[in-house]
Amino acid sequence: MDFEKEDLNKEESFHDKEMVKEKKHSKKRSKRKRIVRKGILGRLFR
Amino acid sequence: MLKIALDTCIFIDFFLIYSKEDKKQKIPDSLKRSRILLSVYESGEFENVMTYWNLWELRQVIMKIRLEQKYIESGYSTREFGDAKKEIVLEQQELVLVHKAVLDLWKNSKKGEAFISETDYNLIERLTQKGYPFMDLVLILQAKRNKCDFFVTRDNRLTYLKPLYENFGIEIIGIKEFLDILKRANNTN
Repeated sequence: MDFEKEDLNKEESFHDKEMVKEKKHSKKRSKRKRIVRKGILGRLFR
Repeated sequence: MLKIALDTCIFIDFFLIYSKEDKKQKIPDSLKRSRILLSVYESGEFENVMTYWNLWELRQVIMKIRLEQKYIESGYSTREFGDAKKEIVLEQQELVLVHKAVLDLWKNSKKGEAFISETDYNLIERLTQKGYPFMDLVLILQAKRNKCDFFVTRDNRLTYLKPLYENFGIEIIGIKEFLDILKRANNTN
């Protein structure tokens, strides 16, 4: 199942990479970072 | 840094806000206070503690909201949800989206220990007899166990939950009160 690819305890995922990118970016502008990946909830709640 | 536990209803607000932002829709007034809280959360100004209880309840509630949305979309009225339940289920893709959303929140929270003792069972038993839903009690208990400064819920649930301070010894406050506390803490530092 797809879920297993994204295990709760061991993720070196796209999201983590994005968070690192955002952290670097945040130093320049603001500290804010989006917590839930963009698009996920827009697709879930139509 | 303040360590708190957010109630499930606040996470739901966060999800609805993100959903509206994704679709470039206006954020309704009812979500404005939660929007401010989300903004502060995104800035990392406080630490949110989550245990498996929070994770499981949140996942279940999100699935229920999505399902009810599907019932309505299929033409069922709220009175017919019982019938709709027999026919409509979440698709694999929807389950994956729920999982991903919850996982992101989980990854951004401090993991707390999910623990209930024999004494806690007695307390929960006593309070459920008074009409409190057991999951509210479990979540407040987890916040206390993980040494959170506050359990934060939506302001409209406060009258109902605040008296539980006497039973659990952890302050239960609303979003507005928490934002004020945070502001004061930032001004002092």
